[in-house]
Amino acid sequence: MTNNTGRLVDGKLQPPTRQLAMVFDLNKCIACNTCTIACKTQWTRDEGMDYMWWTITNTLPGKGTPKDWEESGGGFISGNKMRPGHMPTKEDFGAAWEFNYDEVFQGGKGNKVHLKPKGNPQWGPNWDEDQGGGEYPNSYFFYLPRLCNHCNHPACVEACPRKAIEKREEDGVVLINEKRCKGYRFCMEACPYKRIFFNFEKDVSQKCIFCYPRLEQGVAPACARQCPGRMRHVGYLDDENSSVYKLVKKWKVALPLHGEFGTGPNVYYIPPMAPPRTGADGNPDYSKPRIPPEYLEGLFGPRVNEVLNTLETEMQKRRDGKESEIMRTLIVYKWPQDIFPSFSKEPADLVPVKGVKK
Amino acid sequence: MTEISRRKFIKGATVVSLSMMSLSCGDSAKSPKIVKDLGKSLGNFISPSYGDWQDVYREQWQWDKVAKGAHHVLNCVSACPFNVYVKDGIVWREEQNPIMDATSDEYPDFNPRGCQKGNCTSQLMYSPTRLQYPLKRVGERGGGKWKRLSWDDALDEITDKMIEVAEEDGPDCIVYDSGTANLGYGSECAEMVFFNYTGATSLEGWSSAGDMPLGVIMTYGLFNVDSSSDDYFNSDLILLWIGNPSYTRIPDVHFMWEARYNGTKIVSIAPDYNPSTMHCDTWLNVNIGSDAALALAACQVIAEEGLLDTHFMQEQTDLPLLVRLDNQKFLTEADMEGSDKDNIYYLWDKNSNSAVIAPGSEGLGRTTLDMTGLDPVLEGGFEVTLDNGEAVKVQPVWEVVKAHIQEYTPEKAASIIGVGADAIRSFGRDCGKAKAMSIFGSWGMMKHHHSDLYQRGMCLLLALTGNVGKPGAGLRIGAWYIMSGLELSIVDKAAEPAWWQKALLKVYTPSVREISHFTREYEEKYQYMWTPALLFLYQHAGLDEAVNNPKYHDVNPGKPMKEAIKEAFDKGWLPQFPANGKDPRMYIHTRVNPLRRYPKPQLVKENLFPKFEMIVGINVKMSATCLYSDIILPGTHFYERRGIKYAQSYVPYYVVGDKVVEPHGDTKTEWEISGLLAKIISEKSKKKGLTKIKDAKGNNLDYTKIYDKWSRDGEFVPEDDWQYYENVCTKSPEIGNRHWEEVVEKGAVHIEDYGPYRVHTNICSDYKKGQPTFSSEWFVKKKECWPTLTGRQQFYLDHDWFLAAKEHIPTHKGLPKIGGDYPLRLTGGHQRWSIHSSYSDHHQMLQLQRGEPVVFLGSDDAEARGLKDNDRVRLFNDEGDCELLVSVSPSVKPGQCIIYHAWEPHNFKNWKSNQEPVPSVWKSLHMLQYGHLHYKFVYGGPHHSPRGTTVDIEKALA
Repeated sequence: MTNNTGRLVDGKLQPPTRQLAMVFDLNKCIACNTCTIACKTQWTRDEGMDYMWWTITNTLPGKGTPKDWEESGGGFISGNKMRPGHMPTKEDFGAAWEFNYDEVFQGGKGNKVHLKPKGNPQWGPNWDEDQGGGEYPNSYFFYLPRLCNHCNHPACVEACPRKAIEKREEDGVVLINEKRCKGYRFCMEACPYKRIFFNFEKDVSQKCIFCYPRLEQGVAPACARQCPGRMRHVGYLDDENSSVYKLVKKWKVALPLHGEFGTGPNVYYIPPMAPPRTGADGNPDYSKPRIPPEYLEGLFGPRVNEVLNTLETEMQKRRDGKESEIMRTLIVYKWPQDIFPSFSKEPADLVPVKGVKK
Repeated sequence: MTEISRRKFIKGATVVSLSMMSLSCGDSAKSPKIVKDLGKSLGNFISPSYGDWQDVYREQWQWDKVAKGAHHVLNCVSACPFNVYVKDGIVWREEQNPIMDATSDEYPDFNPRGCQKGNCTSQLMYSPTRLQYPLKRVGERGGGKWKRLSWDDALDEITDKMIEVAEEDGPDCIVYDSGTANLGYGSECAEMVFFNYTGATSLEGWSSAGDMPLGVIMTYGLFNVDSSSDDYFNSDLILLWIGNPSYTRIPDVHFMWEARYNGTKIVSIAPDYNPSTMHCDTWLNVNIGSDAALALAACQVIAEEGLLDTHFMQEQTDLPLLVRLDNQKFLTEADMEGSDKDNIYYLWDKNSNSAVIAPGSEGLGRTTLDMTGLDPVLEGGFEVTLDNGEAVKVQPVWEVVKAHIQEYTPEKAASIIGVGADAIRSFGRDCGKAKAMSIFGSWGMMKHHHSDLYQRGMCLLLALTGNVGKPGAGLRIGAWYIMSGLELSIVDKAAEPAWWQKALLKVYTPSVREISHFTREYEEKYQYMWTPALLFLYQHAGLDEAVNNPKYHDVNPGKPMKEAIKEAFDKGWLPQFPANGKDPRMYIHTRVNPLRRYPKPQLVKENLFPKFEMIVGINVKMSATCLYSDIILPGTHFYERRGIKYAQSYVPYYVVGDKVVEPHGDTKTEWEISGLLAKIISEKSKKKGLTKIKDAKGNNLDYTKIYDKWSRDGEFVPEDDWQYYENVCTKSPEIGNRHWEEVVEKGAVHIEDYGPYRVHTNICSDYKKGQPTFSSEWFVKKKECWPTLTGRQQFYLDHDWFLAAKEHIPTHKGLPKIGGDYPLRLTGGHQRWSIHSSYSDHHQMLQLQRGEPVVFLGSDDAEARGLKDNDRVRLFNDEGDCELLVSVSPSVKPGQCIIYHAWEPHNFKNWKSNQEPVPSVWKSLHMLQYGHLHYKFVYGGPHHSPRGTTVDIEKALA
């Protein structure tokens, strides 16, 4: 049943025939989390999935979802040598608090009770929303959407003793075979991005499936298609017509997150710009950027400042009335063909799958 | 339309009836059934033959039908078309319906429109917050105990009380509160019309929502102004000025960030580093309340550096009009000729070197701003001889304004604004040099005590640079596309134009100014017992104590509040219903939540609610105000009814929704509820012979005829609103007079015309295919008069109160300490997670934040108070207090704290909300009547201003 795609075999990584990727443009993200909800309503409403947000957008700097995921280990030190990883708890993700609606609305207790989450939670998926870092007026923050990176060399695939996780040959999408999964959760420890969840009702691990049932019908993943910020590009990395190819391969302005984790993530980011700092005299201070470069390098690697310079140069071209293909691509004039050309079908036009053979 | 002809229509339409009747949007027998023929859809699914473990998820992506839904009857300003996926008779999920094309290849398109809330609205239908049955309170008000009522019993009790009150004390003792949430284009309009027919007092919600653009009203004479979202692409400078579109304009804000990529410069003007600031090129971290000073400083730089658009100033503004130095009043024809025309003004013409009558003056009647042959002088001083022989010195308004803004050089203004002089100067230059500058002013701006001064400053900045009435320019607050069919479908037949008026209108297009005047007269004539909600609270809830507190006003208020209110009432400037000091007796709130919204809601509970013998709530969800009601009527949800979303100018489409599924529980639409109320009242009135119920304006209302008026003599029936939608659509040239079926099949229809000017539909430009919408073209390009006293953008207001307040010209004033002497200023804005101002209790949205209300506080302010992140704190001032969690953030300015609103009282301990410390004091200047300043529905008057209230924060006692 299982293939070797995405595995290191005799020291050689076995790539899929084609690889899908996403590019997130952080200069358009507003953390509305429509992606989060699109995914939730599409896939994670069954039992045991309440607390799962397969994709989530958090404020950075911040502890993220799950809490402190960046410091939770996992991934590879080199080759197939795995870095020890911590397994996040349900509470680290935010335990899908329930609320006392009935007690407040019809419990007959009047204003003695008010609507609140049960269990006095101390963390949730956006607990540090819009807080950020720095010191006023040189505070800063930006938003980071995340999901399974569908890595080239997925640590979860290597870690699973059941070989229940596969990287699909045709598109590189990494899937957990929930029929094989026995709930050992090594994958959760191994994933350096901590994007695998455990279903305590079904005793299986679950995660983003890149909406493969939609992909198979030519429809973009829900998170991308429903993103009103139009900032989630989707495409094959070898499709020279796709914006993903252009941004990642051609212009190299989209960067992986924590590439040093060693898994070869396939979600890329256009790094965030920010207004200039404010000096002590209340005037702009151009001596250094508002977002500390070392912070961005820690996230997106050493090329991040070069990319930010490219973006600034290209924006200046537009201000000067000159063409910029990069800017044109990031603007996305024609949705959906300019942002996910291979997946531009309208789902409402499809006839639903009925009677799939089991 | 008869039954037979309608059937014919259905048959003839391109609507395919189906074999899936049981799943169709089944309505009453009268309605046509529209369901897409799934078998004929495009792009069939690839035939699945996998048979493997991956089928688990493939099987989940299934549905039975797709229909068009929209989120109407809700005050969300976006209009987003949705495809609604139905499975097993319930809505499974929704996804944006991406049918909004780009205006042209030069602009990005509008897809996909819809935010995180819109993409899970269906869950609200099945949520524990949903009302499903009529309920009657058991036990004390607010006690939270209910019993189920039948609709018959509920409507019987309500109509008995309405008739009793109307008979005994007059119908104005019935108070109808629809806030701003119920003003859609759908059949919910029938409700407002019904209450108008009864002569009930109608609380005007803009007053209590803080959505009144007072500075725009003063300067432009227009209720509002805005353009389409893709018009941001035509700006080379965008100022985000008091607003956070990353939270509040989720489907539209991409145009700004895309415009930035396209070379547009974006400046964020905000005290805090907010979620929109992060995507801007520059941030001016201004002090709270200093916005007018920043505008004036920019104007000073522009004037000093010779960047003025003098032609615009001469033609479009009152800046060349002459003002007498002896009394600071405009020089008028009454002065010069001794005529009775004190509304004809003068300018100094360089060509003739004399004072000549200014085009546009109201006293000239139908006139234009055309200044052919004139060369109006903007600077200098002159002497004129009056009719009485007296020689007086006069100056153009610009001379007065120019002298005043010298007080706001960047160096002088820097300490007020809290931003460096260099930054201010360079900001001013950018504004002066921009080819097209737009200001995202938003509705947040209006919620400040001196919002009028902020806006007048911004309007001045736009006027000096000629940034009005052209693509990519202007103030952006709000404007609506009209559907003419609305007023032709729903209003009182008696109020329809006579045949000769209709004939006249075919050859004569009334000017904006004429329509503006007519609207006032219409409201006077056809009942409309509109009363600004805050004035009602002043009179009946005890808000007067805070509002009259002189410490909460500027030292020069123009007129002390108490005296001002007395004068406004005595002179009939403001409506006062219930009339003659009567107490209100019955309260009906519909889809609104006054206890969430009103300032100091504790006063409403203590003083106002006890006056009501019956409180009725009509709502889809249990709200804070429903919790205090005696009878609750459950409304239907978006996908359980037809609807037309009101059309703000952001997208050039009308968005509509169909009835997708049967209503959950036993619920009814406002259409049906109001129709049934009208029917029952009329039937009961016939038995009692109530043909002469005297309303507060002295009219005799025939209560036996209310239903006839509501149904337009049988044209409409309560059970089905199809005819209403068909009428609205076919009578609206703005959508090409299309049939409802044709429109709802697609879920949205492109506008074909902006339509005529109305108070709330105010684009005032001609529609051109392939061009984004921009406003005010009629004035600037066609030289039609602005609907002001001077016919121009009016910066000079020579009323005695304005002169006394020194607000006769745009100026800056410090923010009074409204709330008491406390060190923090409370600001806010709409939440990211609520749907406009409702549904802040959706469990998934709560799970994505902290699950309960939060106040953001700066790191230093938190440390000084010994507070750690997530501590439970008490926020307080002299007016009230509330408890919530603190979120400590270095992005918040020292001295600022932020509560993003829409939290309901029952989100807080003891149901004491963040509104309890907010007295919301308005200015006496907002109540006077002078020229174009004249209260009417959604236009001027007392106004909610919660932002900037002084508070402090301490750790809450355990």
